[in-house]
Amino acid sequence: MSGVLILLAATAALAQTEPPEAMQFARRAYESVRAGRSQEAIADLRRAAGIAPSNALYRSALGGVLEREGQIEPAIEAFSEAARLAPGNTTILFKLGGLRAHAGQWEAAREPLVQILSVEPAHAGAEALLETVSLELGAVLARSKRFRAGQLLAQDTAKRYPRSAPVHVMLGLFESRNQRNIDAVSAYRRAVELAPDSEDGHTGFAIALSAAGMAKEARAAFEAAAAKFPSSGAVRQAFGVFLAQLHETGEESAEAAATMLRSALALDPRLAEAHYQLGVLALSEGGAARAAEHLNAALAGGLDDARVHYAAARALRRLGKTAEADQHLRAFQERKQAGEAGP
Amino acid sequence: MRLAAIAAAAFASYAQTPAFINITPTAGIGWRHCNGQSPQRFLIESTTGGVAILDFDNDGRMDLLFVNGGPTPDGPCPGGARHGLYRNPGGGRFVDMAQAAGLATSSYGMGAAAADYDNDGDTDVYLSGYPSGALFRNNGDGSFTDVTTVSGTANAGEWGASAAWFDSDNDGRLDLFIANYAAFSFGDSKRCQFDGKPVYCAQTLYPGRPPRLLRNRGDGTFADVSASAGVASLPGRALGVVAVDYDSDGWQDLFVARDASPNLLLRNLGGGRFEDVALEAEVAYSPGAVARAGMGVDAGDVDGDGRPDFVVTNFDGEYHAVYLNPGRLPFRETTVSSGLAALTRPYVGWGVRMVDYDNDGDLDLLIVNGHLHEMIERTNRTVSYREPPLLLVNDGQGRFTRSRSGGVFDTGYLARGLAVGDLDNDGAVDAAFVSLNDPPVVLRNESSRGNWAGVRLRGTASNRDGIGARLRLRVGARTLTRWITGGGSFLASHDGRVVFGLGESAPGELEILWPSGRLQRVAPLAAGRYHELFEPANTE
Repeated sequence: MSGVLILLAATAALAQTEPPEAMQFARRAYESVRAGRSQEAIADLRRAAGIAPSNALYRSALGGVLEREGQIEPAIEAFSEAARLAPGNTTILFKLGGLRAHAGQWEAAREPLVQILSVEPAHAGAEALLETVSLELGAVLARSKRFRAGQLLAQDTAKRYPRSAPVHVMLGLFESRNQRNIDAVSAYRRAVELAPDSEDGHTGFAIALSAAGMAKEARAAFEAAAAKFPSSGAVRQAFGVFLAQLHETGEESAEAAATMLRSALALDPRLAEAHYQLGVLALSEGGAARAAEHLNAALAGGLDDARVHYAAARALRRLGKTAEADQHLRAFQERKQAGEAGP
Repeated sequence: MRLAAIAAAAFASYAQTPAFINITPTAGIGWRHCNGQSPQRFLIESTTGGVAILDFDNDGRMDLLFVNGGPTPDGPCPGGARHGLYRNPGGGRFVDMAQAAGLATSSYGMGAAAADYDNDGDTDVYLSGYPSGALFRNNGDGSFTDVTTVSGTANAGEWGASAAWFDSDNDGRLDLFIANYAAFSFGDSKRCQFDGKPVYCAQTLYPGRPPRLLRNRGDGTFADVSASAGVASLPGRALGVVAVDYDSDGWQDLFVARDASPNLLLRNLGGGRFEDVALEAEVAYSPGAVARAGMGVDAGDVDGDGRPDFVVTNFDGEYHAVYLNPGRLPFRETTVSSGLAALTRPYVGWGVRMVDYDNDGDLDLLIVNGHLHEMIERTNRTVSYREPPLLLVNDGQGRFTRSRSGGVFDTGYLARGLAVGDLDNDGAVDAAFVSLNDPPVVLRNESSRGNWAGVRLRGTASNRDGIGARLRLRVGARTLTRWITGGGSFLASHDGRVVFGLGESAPGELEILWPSGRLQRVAPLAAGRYHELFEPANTE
């Protein structure tokens, strides 16, 4: 028997206190579902819910049928109403959380799952789903640059999942984005302890150390990451960016940074950030033609942001290609005006 | 004692001699800054603290003016928040004249710009602030009259930061440029926290405001020409401004340092119009396309090629920037190759002035720093809340090293405004800066070893202070080029005299290009003293 039918059976067997007419509609809905007449079932359950507005099960059953029909939004609405009427019913809450997650409503999905765990901390399903939902929500918040909200989410999630490496990577990311660099170091360090093979953890750890002003430790962490993930272009790209920063303050040569970035590209020619960094290094040394090549490659690689257009404009102007330089300058200004804050 | 030991002892003694000594504790200066720090942490509290070195009583000795912030709705100033005006009678002591001089405002104070705007022979003062600035005309007897309303210089409703006097239209009268910061109100509901403690919100939450240009009509009133000059359409969080003719076309241009807004390089087109060429000049953004947190700015020839370069102070991690002027656009940013990136990485810089502190003929950099996030040390191991000033020594080619001279330069401050000037007329340029909620720091220069010659210009066709003049002095095989700039640094105004450091040489011929366009050649000056030079009736 499907979940919907079980729910409907339970609905049909409701206590005698329910209005008889509502129960009749519910029973008929049960029969309709068994016969494959979902639309009739939906109509009857709506009637039942209208007659007995405080009955959570009618709404829950309605949500189940709607879900089976692929009507996800109305199903969410029905389960939301059911959850409101029966806030302690973990079955309804879990269904609501799952449906919202299915619809990509990560923030809304968290609420019923958190509610379940507050009344039933050992609810394995809710615990697993909440972690997934929180990580997905974190990704959305990071993409939309809602770093403060992301930090609050990550801190809460890290408390709930102290042994989850992905959660600590997420926490490290948001601590970094909120300039809480020393806290970011702690988060990434924990992520690496929990998952020693996490490339994201190791890379994030090294970047966080650098941002926290711990250059010596950052260099050691990058070297360790590069040794541990020898075929990862991304690790070498991040290492190259770090070395380029050290070059600015006279702590490393431009050639060392460029060599690292080139080795990243040798492993993965699509790494657009490495091309951008090589372009900027070339530009700073008067190599406008070389810079333009790398910057074009960065753009072709999908790094279509203000930084790249600005650097391209500078390089092309030095090459006397003023019309093309102006085009990039316009693109740069458009992206700035569109609110792209840059790196 | 053997000769080597004597030499070593002498060197050790020299090495330990501080370049500058803080004389505030013994100078009779009791003034203290107050920013009215509130539980709300209004952003304006973090940007106040102006200072001017000026000769307000025309006695030939430079006096001191300190601009106070003031109380905020929930942030009192228990000791009061008056501005400090100190007369310099000589002997390293100063006398408080603020009350007698009548230099009081009701606004929240920011900076000072001192100049003889009415060409009557004494130094007047503009005080920027929020929600208005104030213009004080010098009465010539040590007192001032508030002429804000009648002059039309209130800049009402704005949060005015640095201001600069300069002659925008070469009519011989000084006009006033006010770097306005952002839309602001003490009713502002923005609140930010770090670990539950209040901190200042990011400046990007405050929309920038356009600067204001006030043209001096010459009758004691000013016309707001911001729109016709083309600057009213350039909103952004402006903090610092310096006026100099960067392209040698005879018109005074402006470099405006802006905070997380692109810097402006306002090329004076003549006819009262300005054009922003900062993007073309590559001074608007960092090489990484970031609008840095520009605070202070100054102009001068740091590489000895006779053209004015610029230095801009920025936020920690952004580096204070150097832009060399190659005589065409773009400028060449040498922040990395000059050593400034390495030297300034941890600092939030504010006041900055190019000054030849040791009179060797090269313009060095005096920079004051201080963070604004009280919790910064929780986020970065190399950055401090209170930060030391920097004395960066120029090798003559525009490359800098840090002078570790101890004392003040090893002490942390929340410094903001920085002014320079020769307080004791010894040819060694001194300085003063304001640190939030602290007594001011007055620095006596102890390091000058080279010969020097000083010049005070007196304009006739040009403005009386000679602001905008270019001076070229032959010194042996070198030519030293200096400008009398308008503004410069942050919230500050400086001694208008020019001191040429001569090293071991004697001064040669001096050439002065006045703002009027008149060229004056002056026979070699006597070293070791100041010379008052009047603008000739015609080019000589």
